[in-house]
Amino acid sequence: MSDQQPTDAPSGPGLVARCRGLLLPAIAMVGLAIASYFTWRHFFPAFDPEAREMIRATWRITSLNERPVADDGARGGVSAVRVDEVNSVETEVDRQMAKLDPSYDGWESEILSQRVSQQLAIVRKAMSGGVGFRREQVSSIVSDDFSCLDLRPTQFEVVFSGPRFVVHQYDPTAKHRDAKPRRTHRGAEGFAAALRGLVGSNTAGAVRTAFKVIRVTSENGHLATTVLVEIGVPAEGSTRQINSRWICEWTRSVPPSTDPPLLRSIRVEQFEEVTLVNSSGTLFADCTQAALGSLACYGKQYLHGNNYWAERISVLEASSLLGNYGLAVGDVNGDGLEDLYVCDGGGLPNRLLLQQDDGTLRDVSAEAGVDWLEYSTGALLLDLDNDGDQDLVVATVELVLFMENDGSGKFTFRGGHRAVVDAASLCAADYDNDGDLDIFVCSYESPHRATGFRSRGFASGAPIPYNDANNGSPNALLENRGKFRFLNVTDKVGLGANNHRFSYAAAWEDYDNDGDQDLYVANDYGRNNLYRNDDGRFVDVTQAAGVEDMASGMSVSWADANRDGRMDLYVGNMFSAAGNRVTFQRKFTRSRDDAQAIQRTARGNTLFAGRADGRFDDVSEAAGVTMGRWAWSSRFADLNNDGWPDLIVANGFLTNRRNDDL
Amino acid sequence: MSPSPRDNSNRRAVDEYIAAWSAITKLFRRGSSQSGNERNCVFLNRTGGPGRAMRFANVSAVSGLDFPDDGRCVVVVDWDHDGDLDLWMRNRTAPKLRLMINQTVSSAEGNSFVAFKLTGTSCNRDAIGARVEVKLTDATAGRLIQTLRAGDGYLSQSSKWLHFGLAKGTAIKGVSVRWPDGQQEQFGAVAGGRRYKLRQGSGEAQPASTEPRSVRLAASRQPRDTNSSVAQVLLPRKIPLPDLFYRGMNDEKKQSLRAGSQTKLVMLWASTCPHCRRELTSLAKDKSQLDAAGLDVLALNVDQLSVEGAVDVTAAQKFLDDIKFPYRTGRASGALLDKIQHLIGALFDSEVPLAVPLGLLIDSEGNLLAVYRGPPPRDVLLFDARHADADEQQRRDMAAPFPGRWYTQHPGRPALLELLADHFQEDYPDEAVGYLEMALPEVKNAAAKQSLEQRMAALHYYLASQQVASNDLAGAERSLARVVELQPQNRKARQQLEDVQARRRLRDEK
Repeated sequence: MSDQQPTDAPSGPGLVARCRGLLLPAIAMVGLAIASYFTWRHFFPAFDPEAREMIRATWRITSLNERPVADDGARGGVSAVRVDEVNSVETEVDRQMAKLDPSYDGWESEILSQRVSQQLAIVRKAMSGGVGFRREQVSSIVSDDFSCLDLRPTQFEVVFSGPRFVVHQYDPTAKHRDAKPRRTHRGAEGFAAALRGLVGSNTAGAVRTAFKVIRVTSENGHLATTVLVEIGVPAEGSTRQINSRWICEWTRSVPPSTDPPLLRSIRVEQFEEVTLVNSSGTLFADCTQAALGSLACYGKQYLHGNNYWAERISVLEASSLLGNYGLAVGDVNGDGLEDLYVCDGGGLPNRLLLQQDDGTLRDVSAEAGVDWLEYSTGALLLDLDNDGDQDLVVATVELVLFMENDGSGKFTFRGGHRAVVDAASLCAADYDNDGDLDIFVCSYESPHRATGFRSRGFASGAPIPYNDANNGSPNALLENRGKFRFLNVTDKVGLGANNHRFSYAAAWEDYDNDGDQDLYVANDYGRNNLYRNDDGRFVDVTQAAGVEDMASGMSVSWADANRDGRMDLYVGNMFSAAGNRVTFQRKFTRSRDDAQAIQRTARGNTLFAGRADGRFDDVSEAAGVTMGRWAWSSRFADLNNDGWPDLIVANGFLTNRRNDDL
Repeated sequence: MSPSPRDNSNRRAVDEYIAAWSAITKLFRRGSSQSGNERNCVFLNRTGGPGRAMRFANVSAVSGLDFPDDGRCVVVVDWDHDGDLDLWMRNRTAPKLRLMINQTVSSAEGNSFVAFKLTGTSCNRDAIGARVEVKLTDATAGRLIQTLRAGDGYLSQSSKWLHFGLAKGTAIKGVSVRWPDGQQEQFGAVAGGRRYKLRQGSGEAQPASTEPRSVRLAASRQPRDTNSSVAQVLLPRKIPLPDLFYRGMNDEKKQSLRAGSQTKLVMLWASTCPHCRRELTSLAKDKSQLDAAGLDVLALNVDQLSVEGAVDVTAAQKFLDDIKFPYRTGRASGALLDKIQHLIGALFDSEVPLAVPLGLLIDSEGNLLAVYRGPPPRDVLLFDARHADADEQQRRDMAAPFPGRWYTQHPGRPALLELLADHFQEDYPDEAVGYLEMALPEVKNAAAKQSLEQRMAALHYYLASQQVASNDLAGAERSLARVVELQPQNRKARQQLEDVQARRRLRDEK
């Protein structure tokens, strides 16, 4: 493990603000020194002399807990009498909080976008009722001189046709010789008619519309917005989805008037319509309740989100509002059915759920010996000792734990490895081709830890600089030395290069088709890593291969998505509508010479196409796969069995009590 | 917010930037959202031919996967063995798990599949890293390759069955495997629509069991999170209280919340709150039961928190008289509540706004044991009171909502006190220093002791500067004396101490 410390690590977050300049460096440094001293203590930590780094931690099962659990909300209640915020002292943090109001920095686009979005919300609401809506429902947002052509173009091209999906597309630049001329719609009635034409007459149930304002230009009293439009239309026999991109022109009131902007015109820039053939439903159905509903943990543990638990389990158990807990599948008892291991936050047990023949699950966490209460992020089920069963690796608050399966799904704790600070994703491969599996552990460290209680998520420090942060802590490669002993070989094999990032995820793949496993690491706040494996030595070839992808890396997925025999790469990132609106404004681009780099951090997911020469082309925008919102797991999977890998993006950062969306 | 500095050269820029991060953190902890309610995205590969430029269509809505969850993990697995890929999804929000069953094959429209489970013999047994290629009879259809992986996406491990979709009319010519150790192997006699086991060196694809399974999982809509502002939170450690004072209902006498010889429930209440009135009535009624459990009660009224000077507690007092409230009573101040908010804020990543009725279970030594948002059910309250003497290990176990196993134990008490000091330092440096003073005698490690002393000296020094500014010379003298005590070699502090002492003498002479 690298002993090189980031020399440029800034001092603790709260401390700096708290003392307002006075005595700062001294206090901050002391804080850091203390932080590094107190760590979690294990029961009798003992070093195994053979494996040197393995920790033979002991464990205990919780004592019988007879504390009655109240059915929340069922008994009594809380008054609306709020008694907080009675004595506030303004601090630097408070001043910065005030600055988070977009109007503070004079980002006019944010205010305009908010007002435009309010107008579009009226349209969304009107459309939810299907085609039956009237002009009165939208007349309040349309100016008298409104005009647009048909919002559903008359000329399409079929760009995809399979047994399940048909995709139509309209290319505004193509000349359609035989095209029916599109009608012009004027005024509020025209707008309502254009919307009715867009949705069509075949609807069953609520039409779901989403608008996202991604660009605002406001010059010389002229206001225009680029709006992403996504409409889901349930219909008898064929569910449809419309994806469009509109350029909307709005009236602009002259201050001090605060009249809301009125829609003057819409130009359709992109239009795509997807039909799910022969189905009134969707491609996937949620069968969770049927599979899990009979388990006690389903309602009590899994039907409460992280907000609920972060209000009830204290940070002394490293409970975190962030909620980044993983999943692993594997057949742990050799019955041919895949089972599920579910990680959870501090104070909540991880669970091993065995699949039954009927597809439902049985909770065997306790008897299998894997119901760890420590904060756990990632887990892997795999055969570490080549004895034919699936062993378990879990990344927890302090250690990466190793558990040996006896073949029947009972596990024996075989010790842990410190590996990294703040372990995130795990991925395994036999990097040195010696016949056993080695484990790569990502580290997403909070560099400014306040105390020995491992603060998680939101206590994390500030990445500097934002788009190329190099003050994280190192990832680790643990080499399998047999008998559940692992050795940190990161630096020895060359993975110490460029290894102070904020790494969320990594995945192995032989991208250069030379027979060994190469590694791609996705880093938040900056450039990623591609390490080429040269006979067990790794070389950082990120820049040469063209896969730096300087953005907010969250996940890695490999597949040959165009079936040319070369692996392609999909990287989860952040798409931020606000980031797009702000960073493309002239005020922003003029103020910084790194404006393009910052713009890039808000672009969204990235698709790299593998080339014959071992390099990659960034084809994200042409392929149409950037808009994955605030993405986490973003991965390839062939969902319609046509042999072409599709993409799924799990996204969304933080849905909290307040619906304010910073 | 403050823009990101390029490097650490400008101290002020870095400080502002870090403060901006702290500000965002604070907002999140107080309930703000960011990119909340975002719907998952699904893109259909419509590239259409091998080697062509990749193209995708947005099919999020028709996929049925576009939940507004805070999604995190996606695991791919043919859960029900019906020949298409199902998904397990893991969310931050509830429902935290979703089993999404693919409806592709069951509606039988032509596409097929083939799937393989690999076993290594001269390489790792799971054959992680093996590259499998399905060769099609149609040479123009392009290649179908996949690598077997353990862990990808984010925090996700998918099935070790390699699943290949086969478009309608596709026929398989053969299958080749490049094992992780470099061995190349061909497997013949493979047909679509089936699952096979491929064992290294066998050269023969072995069909997996075709016994039909009885999977019938009905689809249904899962409820979303039902959070509640009512909770009875038992803390996993005894938490020492800061200096908290309240006043009598009708007098100005300050009394410490820590004082007392038995376990007590401090109930914060407002006379305008019906839940509070009901709870106080019920506590009065249950007095003998509470007495038997050794539990005392103190009701602190919050009616006139923000009122300066003379307060009017007539309504509150009248209510207490009406129900003949048999316990001690008093008035809470804004400062008391603010400190309670700080204390609870130090302990939870999500800061719930304080609301009444709010109960605090405090032991005879002035430690906070439990926090009750809303009226605590009697059985819970009595259980917690009866277990006021539970040791740290029992306490930790009782606080966990589910049984399980631990391999860690909490850090020592000094770390806990540090955590509290961190939280109080900004607004109440005197409380922070109080916590650190409590920690000091318990720190045994010499280096840790020294750095703690440094931190304390710095804080006392800061306090002294505040005290001088507010003309509290006696306080400043105490603080500086402590600095000198902690750092005898600190000449500056010594000089300032002498300075302050001289000023005091001067003032006394006047």
